[in-house]
Amino acid sequence: VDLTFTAEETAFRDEVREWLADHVPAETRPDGDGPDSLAFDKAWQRAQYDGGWAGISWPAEYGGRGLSTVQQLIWYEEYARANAPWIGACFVGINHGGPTLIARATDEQKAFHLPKILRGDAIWCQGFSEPEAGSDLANLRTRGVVDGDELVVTGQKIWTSFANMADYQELLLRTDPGSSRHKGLTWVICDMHSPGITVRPITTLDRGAEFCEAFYDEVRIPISNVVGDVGDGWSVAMSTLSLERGTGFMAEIIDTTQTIEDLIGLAREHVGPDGRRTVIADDEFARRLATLKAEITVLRSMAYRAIARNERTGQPGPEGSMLRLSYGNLVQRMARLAMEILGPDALVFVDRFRRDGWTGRWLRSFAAGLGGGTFEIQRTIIGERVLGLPRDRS
Amino acid sequence: VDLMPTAEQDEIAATVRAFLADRMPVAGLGRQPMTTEIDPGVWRECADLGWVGLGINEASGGVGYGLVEEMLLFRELGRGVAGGPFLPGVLAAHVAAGAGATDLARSIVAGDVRVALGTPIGPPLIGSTVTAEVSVAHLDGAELLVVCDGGAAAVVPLDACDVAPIDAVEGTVPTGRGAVRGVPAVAWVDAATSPVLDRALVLGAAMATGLAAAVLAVTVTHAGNRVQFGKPIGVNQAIKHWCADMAVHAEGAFAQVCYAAVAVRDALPGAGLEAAIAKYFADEAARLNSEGAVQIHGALGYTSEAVPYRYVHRAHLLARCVASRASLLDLVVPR
Repeated sequence: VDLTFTAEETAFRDEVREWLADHVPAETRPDGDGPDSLAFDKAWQRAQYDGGWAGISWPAEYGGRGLSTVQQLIWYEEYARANAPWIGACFVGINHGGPTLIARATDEQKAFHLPKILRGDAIWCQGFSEPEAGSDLANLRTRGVVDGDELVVTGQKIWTSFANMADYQELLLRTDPGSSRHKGLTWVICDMHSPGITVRPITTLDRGAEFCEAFYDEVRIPISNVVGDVGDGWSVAMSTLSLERGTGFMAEIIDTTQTIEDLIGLAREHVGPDGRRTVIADDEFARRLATLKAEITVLRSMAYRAIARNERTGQPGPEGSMLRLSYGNLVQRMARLAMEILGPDALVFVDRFRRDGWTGRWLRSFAAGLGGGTFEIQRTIIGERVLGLPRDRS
Repeated sequence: VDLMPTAEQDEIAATVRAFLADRMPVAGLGRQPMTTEIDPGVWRECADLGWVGLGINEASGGVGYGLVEEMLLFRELGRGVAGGPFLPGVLAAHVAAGAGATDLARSIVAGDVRVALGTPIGPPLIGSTVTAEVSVAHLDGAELLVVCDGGAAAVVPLDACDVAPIDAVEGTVPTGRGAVRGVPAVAWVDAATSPVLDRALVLGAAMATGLAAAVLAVTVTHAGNRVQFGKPIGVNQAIKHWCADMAVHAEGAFAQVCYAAVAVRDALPGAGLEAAIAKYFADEAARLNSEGAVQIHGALGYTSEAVPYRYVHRAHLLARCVASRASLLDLVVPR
């Protein structure tokens, strides 16, 4: 057990801090998930790449820095401290699309895709869920028929964030028509500009416009785009989901340590329930803030431990669901407390990318209990795969 | 940065765990009255194994490990709901060693002199003399009392204090309540010399962390074995998801106590805050997990013949040792 940073790591932190101070965009990310926000996200990703900060722990041969996960963690800590923008449309590619490729793809696939992701040139989305395959992902039906050296894809995906602006997709298909459940699935890289794909945006309760559904009508995808083997898609998808539930959203976890300080700051400034003193002077509010700050500090420690565990096992395991569950719970509780601190000011909608965007963040926080598997699915994974409790498959 | 114990640290913990399982297995005690907190022979064995002096330097009779190894020892003591005045013994040994009272440190480390733990009620005065209202645990056979706050820690003769036993909820740890009124310390240190409060918070948290993990394991075993409606009750989400939450509490508590132990050991900035958070969270984890254990064990969990109540009682005591929940939260967000 050790928390000391090496001289190299400390120098790295200083370098990161200095660069972020000079380069974090002064303007707020544009509202509305449209062309303006896409351009913003891509430009910011490109700036990080040009500065040498994209893919810190990704292999150097594919455009990354080839540094340690501890250095990646240092980057996230400094990133949160600098109040740098949300990753936006680059989320899927950077946080689990690219890492899945690093773990499972061929050299050729990696050489083609990873540098594009790091430069912000290629936007990725996820194509796992379907209308009849949500929590029950293995029930998916979108089919891929092998035709020569191509897969011909027909079906529908849903809850695909950024499908409306994506270039590529992590697409999970049923390629063996006689198969069921976890067998006969294939994980393939789908070019979202292919003929036969129709994307329909789905608006969300927080005025977001990134959510989509996608329809596939005999879309032809080269078999060379398959990651892993045809029929082995479930195991590749589990790699993706372990990342999505674990260390893949480390930036978001570390960011909560800044959000709670912002919330405490709000409570020090905002007039409290008695209409005279600040919120922080109220015992109940002060203790609730302290409870949240304590639990967020614990989440930070859990993240450190998860990183150490991954370093030893070489891959994220089901323990990531503990991070996902704690993170989602804390994000929601912070957002609800913000609504109480604001009092009547909570009636005003403010977009979540603005510094005072607490109502937008509160509305967005409902997603934290759903994305990457609902709270209920995370608890089932912890119960069965971490604790070894019996499954009910009757 | 590495928040996983090393192989050597795991080995120390495994040895302690095996010893406790053999000498002091956790059991429901029924109506059997407690006569002593720990068998004197077992206490002697533990002292001989170096448990009281694990983190004390060799010049003062200790083993010379650090706070992380002590933390792992205390996690096992909590896991085993062990009797014995280990926490006050270790704290008093650090006070004595820090104050240069080597002979006193040696006799505490050797297990010859037993110490009780005083938790201040309201602000104490701790220095060369001590004045404090205190809640006291581990009175059995104790000659000394150790008290600490954020500024200092001191050891005073127990017979100079005005402490009366109480009929405690946790009946296996002799507990009392009373006052220390201007009693000269036999040894004392300020927090800058030796951060005894932070150490107490980490080690108290470690016990609660072990308890939270142990009661989770007992409950998971029960949920996998107990059959109702033709299936183990653990297949039901109502049970499985409760266990999952208990697992998150246990994992969070251990992660934080690891972080805090290193932060205090290495005197990192914010170490005291990390230790306070570790204590607060581990106490909550121990309480929530032992409550879950009673519920998931059903009527059996309500009895004093099964084990869940042992964890409920001990968690209740641990949360009231060293510092109160409210005082810890006030450290986290000062007003």
